[in-house]
Amino acid sequence: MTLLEVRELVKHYAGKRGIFAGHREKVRAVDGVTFALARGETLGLVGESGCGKSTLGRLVVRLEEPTAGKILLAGEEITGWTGRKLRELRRRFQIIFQDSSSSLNPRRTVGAIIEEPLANFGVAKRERQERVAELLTLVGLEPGDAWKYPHEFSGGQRQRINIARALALQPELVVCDEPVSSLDVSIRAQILNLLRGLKRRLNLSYLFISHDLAAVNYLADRVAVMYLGKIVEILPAEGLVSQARHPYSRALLRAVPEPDPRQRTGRKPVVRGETPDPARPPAGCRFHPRCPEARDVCRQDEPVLKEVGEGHLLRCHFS
Amino acid sequence: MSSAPVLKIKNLSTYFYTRLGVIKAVDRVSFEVEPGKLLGLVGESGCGKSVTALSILRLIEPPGRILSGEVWLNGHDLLKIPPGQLRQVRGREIALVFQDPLTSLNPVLTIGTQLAETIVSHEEVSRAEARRRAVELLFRLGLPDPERLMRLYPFQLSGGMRQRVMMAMAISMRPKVLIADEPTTALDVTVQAQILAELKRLQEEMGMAIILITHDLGVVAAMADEVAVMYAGSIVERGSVVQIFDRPAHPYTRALLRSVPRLGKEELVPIGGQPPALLNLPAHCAFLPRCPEAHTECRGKKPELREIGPDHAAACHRISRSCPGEAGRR
Repeated sequence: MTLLEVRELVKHYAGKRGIFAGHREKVRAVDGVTFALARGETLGLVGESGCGKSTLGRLVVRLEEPTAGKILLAGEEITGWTGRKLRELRRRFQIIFQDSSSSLNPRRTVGAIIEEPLANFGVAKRERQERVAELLTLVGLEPGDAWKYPHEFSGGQRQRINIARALALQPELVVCDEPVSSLDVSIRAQILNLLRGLKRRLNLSYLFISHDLAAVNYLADRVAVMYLGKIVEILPAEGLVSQARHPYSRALLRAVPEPDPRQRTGRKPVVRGETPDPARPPAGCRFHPRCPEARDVCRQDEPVLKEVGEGHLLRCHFS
Repeated sequence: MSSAPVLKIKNLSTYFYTRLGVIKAVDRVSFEVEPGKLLGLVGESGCGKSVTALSILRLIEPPGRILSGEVWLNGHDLLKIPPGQLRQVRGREIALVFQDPLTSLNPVLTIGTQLAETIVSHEEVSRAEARRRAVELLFRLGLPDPERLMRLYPFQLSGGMRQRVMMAMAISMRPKVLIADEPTTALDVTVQAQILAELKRLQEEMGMAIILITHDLGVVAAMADEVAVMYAGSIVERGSVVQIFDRPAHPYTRALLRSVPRLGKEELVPIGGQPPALLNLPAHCAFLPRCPEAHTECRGKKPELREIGPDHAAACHRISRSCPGEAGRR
């Protein structure tokens, strides 16, 4: 059953004035993104900085207004929702950010932080306190931690607090925007396993955004690869390594250094250069200036996202 | 087989004297690097790997203090030579590249001016020749249109480009030892792959010794010849890259390798607990509270780093017990 559907979503920002040019440029952060997410499913969204993955996450939870396109929740369009309906959406969609500390108010106790969304939605005081204790236990903290302040916790524990708060209103969809990227290596696995366990227990859906392919692959059912505001490939996670066909997906996979010294022979980087400025995306296929397989048609015509296998969509003239 | 080390660090200790107490950021660290080899210094944030780098170049400022140790480079102990001589050594013989390149570049000078300046100040070449060499270096580091780049200011460059400019600046002096502190951490993987490949090539061509400081085990596996794993200010394991990844001995190294997501890997086994606070470290092994293999003997004094096999050392009481034959060699 489809929980979330995104159709041709677009977000353009008025960019900075150019350093040399006098005119304002449009930054095409998200430029026509379409995907669907089933209930209980985790869609991983990978891409490098500036590909628009975070913007997409913020659009989905309606923290930002799209320039064009539609977002549907269980078949109903939510793009235009305001006021009471938007408030209702806040209960159903939650977001967890990368920086676990700056999203917690340092002057409030952990209990007060987790309780706030419950109070906002009119849950009675006694019930709220029970829920806080429950939520803290759920994320692997102690009920007694409710009386402490955020600074008394480490980065990993603070991310647990953020997760507890996000789950307070029993949301259907949680957008996780780089939830483990700022954590220590030894703590990342704790949080990844926590997120995975919670999903199974609570039948949550995640939109899991990260630049870390291995982390995405670990948690996701399907993986979407983004490049310069567009999805270039979507495929089942178990096939990511063996089935990915887009030259950019393959380049990403090859660029990730595997923690195995025996695999390093012959792993030369396949793409050169950096992601172009999203204010000035190249004509044709957006990846063509860096693509080792680019031909004439790639410089002129933009490929469309088309089905190439079971649950496998690809945006490439070749491959 | 192995040649004489170009850099030798013995018993280096750097403490920070704060109002809250003494932070033992680096505690009796010893290691060496051979010419043309790359040593990966791995550890999590706060384990003391960056302070180790700064201590080697004597860049520690109060409240920090280098308590003891020796840093041998070219027959000189860098911790003992006079400041004037130290300035000569820094840059020319040993160079450091930081993670954040924006703070290390002068914002009001063009890239070309800064690069040429660096080359001219360390070598007797003309300005034109210095600029030509700078362009060549930028090109070799995979930077597009280096001629144009020379005329730009740091703020006009992306993070990846700035990082490569810093690398070019450090390499332009052809140092014997390059210390790179998380040089690719803030960068995209496709850019990281290019920089790492370039670094490897330069190392091989110039016979430079590199100390690569990182928390990324993937980067270490891809780059290092030797690996030193740090935890709470001390090296807990040291060995060749194959030893560390194939036969990790210290429980921390083993746990760390199990906890890192890999493509296609099914289960992650997290390390329990939290990284230690360096303030008031216990007298026993710092990993004890998180160690799945902890035993009563671990509550005794802190284990020393000792040989457990050829080119392999670890600091753990349990290892000496479980393989006495290997541990007893020292």
